[in-house]
Amino acid sequence: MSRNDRHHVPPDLIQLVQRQLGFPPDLVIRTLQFWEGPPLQCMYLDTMADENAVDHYIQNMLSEGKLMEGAPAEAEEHGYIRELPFSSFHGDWVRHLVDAMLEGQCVIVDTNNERVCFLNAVSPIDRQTEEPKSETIVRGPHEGFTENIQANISLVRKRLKNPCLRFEKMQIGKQTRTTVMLAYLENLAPDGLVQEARRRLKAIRTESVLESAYIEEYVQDRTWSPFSTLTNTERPDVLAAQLLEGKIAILIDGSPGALLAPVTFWEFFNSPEDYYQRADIATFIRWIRLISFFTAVFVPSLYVAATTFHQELIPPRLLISLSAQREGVPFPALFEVLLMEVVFEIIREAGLRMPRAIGQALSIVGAIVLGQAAVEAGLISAAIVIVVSITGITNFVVPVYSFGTTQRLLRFSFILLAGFMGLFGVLCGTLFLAAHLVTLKSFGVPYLTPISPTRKHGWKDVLVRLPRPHLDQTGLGYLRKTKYK
Amino acid sequence: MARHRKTWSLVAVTVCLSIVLTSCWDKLEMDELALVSLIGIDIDPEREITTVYYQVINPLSSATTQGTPGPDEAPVFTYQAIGKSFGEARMNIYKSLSRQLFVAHHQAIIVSKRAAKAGLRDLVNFVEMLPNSRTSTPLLVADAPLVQVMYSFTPLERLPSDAVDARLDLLRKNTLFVGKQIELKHFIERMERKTMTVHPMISQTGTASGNISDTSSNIDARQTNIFFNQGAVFRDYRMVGSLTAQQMVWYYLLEGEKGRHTFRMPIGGKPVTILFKSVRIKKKVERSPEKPVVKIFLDLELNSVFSEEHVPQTLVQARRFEDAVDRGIRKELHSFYEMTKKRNWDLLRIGDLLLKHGLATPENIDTAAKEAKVEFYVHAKLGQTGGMKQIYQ
Repeated sequence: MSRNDRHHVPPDLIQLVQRQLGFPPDLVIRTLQFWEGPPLQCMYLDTMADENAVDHYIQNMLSEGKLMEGAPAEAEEHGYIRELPFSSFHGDWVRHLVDAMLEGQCVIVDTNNERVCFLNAVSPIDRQTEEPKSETIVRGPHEGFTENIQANISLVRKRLKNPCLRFEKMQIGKQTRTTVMLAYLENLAPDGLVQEARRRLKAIRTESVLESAYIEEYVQDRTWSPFSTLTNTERPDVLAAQLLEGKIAILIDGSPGALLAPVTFWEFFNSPEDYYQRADIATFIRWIRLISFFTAVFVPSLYVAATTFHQELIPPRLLISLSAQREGVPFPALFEVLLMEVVFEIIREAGLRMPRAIGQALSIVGAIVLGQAAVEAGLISAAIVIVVSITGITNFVVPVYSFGTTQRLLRFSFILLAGFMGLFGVLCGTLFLAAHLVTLKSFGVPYLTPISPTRKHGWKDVLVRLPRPHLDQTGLGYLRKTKYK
Repeated sequence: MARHRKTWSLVAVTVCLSIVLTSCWDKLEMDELALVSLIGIDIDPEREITTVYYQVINPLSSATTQGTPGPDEAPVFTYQAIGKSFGEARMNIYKSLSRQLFVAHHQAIIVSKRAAKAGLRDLVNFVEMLPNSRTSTPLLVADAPLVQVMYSFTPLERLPSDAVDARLDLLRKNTLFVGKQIELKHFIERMERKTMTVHPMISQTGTASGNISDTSSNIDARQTNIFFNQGAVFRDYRMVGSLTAQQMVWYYLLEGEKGRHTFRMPIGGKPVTILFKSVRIKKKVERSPEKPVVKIFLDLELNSVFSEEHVPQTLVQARRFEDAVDRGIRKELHSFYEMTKKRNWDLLRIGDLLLKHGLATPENIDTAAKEAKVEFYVHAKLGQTGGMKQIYQ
């Protein structure tokens, strides 16, 4: 269909729209009579549109005689009075009107002149911008994305006043028709990366998209892996920083979480705060995060392996102490650790779901169950409580929440391996994990970059964070040398 | 898809193969272990009976899930196993012991004097044959009856093995009574190299008590205590004699140990207490037409911190002080050497030195060592003085 093809307004347009929407109770149809002219039909969903705004528009029209004087020339050509910065429509009248109303717009139809006016009367029901709960920082901006994609884009634009900033709009989800934006900086993001992201997004065939995770599962590189090949953020400053490194971002309407790609293993240990404070402090904290990762993944398994297979590895005094603690405990160390880890996970999950008012009670119960009571009852040894507590705390040190889940999955696998095969099992698991990590890619970037494959210029911001003047000034990092087909 | 199938097949095969790994069946919880802290060996050569004592730590003497133990809880239990050989004795232990022996963390092996005199070759072979054997523990010889040593508690330290270990450590740091090369592995190395070695001897004071209350309620630490008094000299896996505490000092000084030592010696006609530290030792062999000459150069650092009898006031007095110490120590070393020579003990390893320089052959090494002339050159230097310039008269 060519751009100038004209679609005629169906005579029973109002009925068709009503039928399409299923005669909803919130559909408002008002007839507007201007002087002696033919009546106009005003339609909107009062649950989506702001009625005050609609009234305000109509009042203005009446006083200024906008409609009577005709529309701008360009709009006349397409048959619309264009009030909103929307792309032009060349399709089905009914479908277009329904879509507009579902977005919260008010539609004024001039059936006689085959014209339509879309009034932006979207009801402002979005929440205020506030700091994301899962990405809190001490120093730095405290703004976070909301569920409104327009607001999110404006937050990004506020930080990147750059004409090269591109947003590509797509609608994904057969039922939800969710607006998805692919964002990138045209002058920095490699073309291959943008094309690949575009291709993957366009290939999505799904019924619904309600959160960024829906998209993530379609565009990720490897489905069967505990490691995420995309990261997500609710912070506009993080998104802006990542775009400046040449990455792409995917914003989803209705979700405050934006997806970022590509991502490497080491980037999960980076926090936006690393760049808001001194380099030496940032490096120290980064090492703390790395140590925490290894503690969270390996400490319970090493405890199980050492206490059930390799007691020679434990220093004598510690062995005596641990041995004393195990006296009278009915379960093997493997079962003890698994039991406590599962209990911890249950309490953690319950803490997330339960109303905040009774959260404190849960903490007390958790502390008692996990702590003194279980030890005194002789169900578990005191050392297990310490091991589980340490791993529980270290699990939350990593800045990216989703990576914490990865750690938990790995931890359970290693505990089982240690319980059945001791250190040999842990070693086998580690080798398997290393092999898996080196084969993993995120949008064409090897997951362990820049350590493996070696990209020496990238080492300035991996295990250490050099002062800003020493960092790669282009900001591209490993993406500079990534080759896309 | 095919690639995934291959990966999962590999994983499945690996998991299946892991079943045949022995480690799968080695699982042993800590509360099934008998943690051995001290091992005692006694051999009766006449009756050919080997007795092995295992001092097993009582886990209930530490804080457990059931609470804190009472003061009367014995920290260790000594088990005795008898057999015709070490292997037999080891297996017989389970007639009286209800847990799996765990000897990886024992802190010392004490052998009885008669066992040491009968020879420790069998013990060494047995230890080395065990898959998880450990030879990095001190080898000690009991001067007192081994039963007494193994069945008595020590004051201050709850575990007798801790008392032994801590004392060896302190003696090593502060004196020259004990050297570093006293572990079982050093013993094996020396014996295999056909050289002699000295290991500390442990003795008992007072009456041995196997009741922890007797030890903990008695102010007199002499009542139930062990102490180091002598050194056992070994040659070819057998104990061939002993050294006194003072001889041990000269032995370790000539061995090149870097410890320090305090002793009283006559200087200028009156006894003075000196503290010296070995800085360097150098052995040099000189060929001469008559017999080879072995020169041993010793550099010592002197400290007059304990010299309450005399403190050098001037540089001349300091030099005189140093010279007197040189002479005194040289004399002591010489008499020590003469004693070893008389007993046919090449404790200074002169034979090895001559062999290395081509002045002896493996066949005549003992004779060559005995015939060589040994000269001592001691150079003591006063490095530090005490906090006072002049003592109170």
